[in-house]
Amino acid sequence: MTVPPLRTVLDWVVVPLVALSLGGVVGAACVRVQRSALDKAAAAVPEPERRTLALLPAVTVANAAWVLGSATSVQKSLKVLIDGLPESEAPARARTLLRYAAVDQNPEGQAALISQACATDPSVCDHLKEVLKAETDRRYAAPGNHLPLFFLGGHPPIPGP
Amino acid sequence: MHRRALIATVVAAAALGVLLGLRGAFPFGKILPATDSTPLARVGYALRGGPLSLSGRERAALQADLDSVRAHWSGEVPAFELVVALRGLTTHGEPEWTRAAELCHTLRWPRCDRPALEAIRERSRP
Repeated sequence: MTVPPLRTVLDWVVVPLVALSLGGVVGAACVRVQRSALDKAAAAVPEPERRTLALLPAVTVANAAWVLGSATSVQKSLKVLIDGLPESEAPARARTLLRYAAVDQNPEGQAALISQACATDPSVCDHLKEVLKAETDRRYAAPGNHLPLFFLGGHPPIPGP
Repeated sequence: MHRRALIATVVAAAALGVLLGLRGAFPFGKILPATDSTPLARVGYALRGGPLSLSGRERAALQADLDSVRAHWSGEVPAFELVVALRGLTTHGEPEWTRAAELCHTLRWPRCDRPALEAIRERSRP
């Protein structure tokens, strides 16, 4: 077996590989130039807002599902959202948990989620009913478009004998 | 003859490289200086704002970003596509009502008529 001379390896292996890599960089640069308008626009957004841009697709889908989506879609979209929300976004996390509670059909599950929302953002606890009512008012489909029974105080009058 | 074959090989390799770079098949872009934004952030920006005035090339780049987000979406992909259709991200900001209705039916949402889709469009804005 004869070993190919170095020059042959260089010509037929190394040079084409270098050409392939350079071509790849040129292709990637073309893509970068094409998206520069959106890149620049996104970079021009003020800093606190810019950090939340990556969350907006999940927020938008969750909002869309909340308006008129099925319970399954609402739960799936809220899961995507809550998985992406950082701990620092406590009010948004609490609101997401309250929406989850509103579509949950199990009273114990609802109570657990509401309690979790309270723990996530204690300021929500002070006016829980109002916050939840604002959320349920935004939903046009059942379940989740009414306050959970958990919040409906009192008992229907029981007629006496 | 030998020289011509070598030049043809090098040109073919370079062309293949450009193609792979354009399609993002290999991480050639990592050699370039990093940008602040990700496909998810750029799609987020597009969903956040008003009508987008993008050139043909920029729309193609947004389409690539949408493809990337769709490929990694952990929730219901039709729900994401429904939002994209309602916001007209691939159609100069004009909502794609017919496609949105189809996606809505696929998702088995309770109402998929035009007023319902308009309500979803208006109220889903982040």
